[in-house]
Amino acid sequence: MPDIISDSFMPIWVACENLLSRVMTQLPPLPQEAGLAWGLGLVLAYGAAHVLYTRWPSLWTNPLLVAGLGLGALVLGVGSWQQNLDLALADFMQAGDWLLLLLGPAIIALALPLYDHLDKIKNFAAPFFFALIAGSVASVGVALVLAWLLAASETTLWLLSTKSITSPMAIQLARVLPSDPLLAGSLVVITGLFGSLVAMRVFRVFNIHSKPAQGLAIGVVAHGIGTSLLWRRDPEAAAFAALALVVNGLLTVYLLPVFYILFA
Amino acid sequence: MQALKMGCGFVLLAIYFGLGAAVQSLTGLPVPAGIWGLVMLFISFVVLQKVPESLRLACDFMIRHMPFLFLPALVSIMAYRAFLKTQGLVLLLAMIISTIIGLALAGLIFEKLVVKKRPEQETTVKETELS
Repeated sequence: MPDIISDSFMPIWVACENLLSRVMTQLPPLPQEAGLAWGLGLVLAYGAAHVLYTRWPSLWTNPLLVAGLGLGALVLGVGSWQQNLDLALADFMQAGDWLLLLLGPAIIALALPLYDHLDKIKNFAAPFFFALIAGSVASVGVALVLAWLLAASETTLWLLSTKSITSPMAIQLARVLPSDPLLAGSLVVITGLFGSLVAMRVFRVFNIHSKPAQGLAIGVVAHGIGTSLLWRRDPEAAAFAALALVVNGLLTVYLLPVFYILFA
Repeated sequence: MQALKMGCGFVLLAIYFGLGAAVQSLTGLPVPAGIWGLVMLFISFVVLQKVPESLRLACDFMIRHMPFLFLPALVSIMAYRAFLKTQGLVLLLAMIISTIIGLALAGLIFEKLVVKKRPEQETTVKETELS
């Protein structure tokens, strides 16, 4: 009897073991001393930028911008001291790889704004999807046409095609396209940062004043970074941004490989 | 007490991510584990008809401090100096113009559609004066 029971549990056990070993092999190596120091540096830089932003909330005290510039300068400084910038960057990324990994689970938290403002979202379902597809196609299309006119390389074109989706998805997509996963992730972050810096100005110029419209637009082009900033000021708009970033990411993940097979 | 609750929330989030990873490896679709976890957490909220305090605290913390996780990707762009020397300007130009057009178009189309379809909604729309 016990044999039957243990046998019937065997496939589940094997599946769990497979999953665990797959997870273990995908993890980056544990950081060494230099990596740990950079980890501390990351926390301190972000903490300082966060305090600065809560004291003086403004466009230019954006925590990502401030901490990013500070850390960038620090990496450059250490690099020139070691006379090898790539070595300093490699040390930095020992800690950085773990944060990149955490971006995957971080997206789960977006279930909160989605649930909180579900009624509002239901009201706007149809216009939401039209506007989302238009915004998504326009932002990728304009970028590609422009880059193609300026004689960009093939890698550049594929990098631009994943610039407006959240970075775990962009990195995953860039692995199957003739693109560069890490650079795709960096471009995503720069796009998100730029998008959240100019968003309110663009909205003022084009007279876009409703919360759902602002949230949707920010979610489509500025993904997680824009959504996070919006969440601090306006949770309702952040709910629309969260939905937009998830749907835009899924659409891109499914449609882009199709384009690749058809045209490249 | 609040920190303890938030800790429980993080453990729950980790469990949802594990479930998401399991679904991803079972289905083999290109949908990342995080999205599966998000969908399952959302369904749990709908079934419960409320958000447990622990999860609310953890989710709020996670969304608020998401930029922290983007920092390494931002700094690591320096590793691509050689590539950016030739392609950086094009990349930047295309990114800037397409981002502005995308923002404007998505917002404008949504507002036009909503105002045309349900004029009564306009009264609920408040003007936001931010940054």
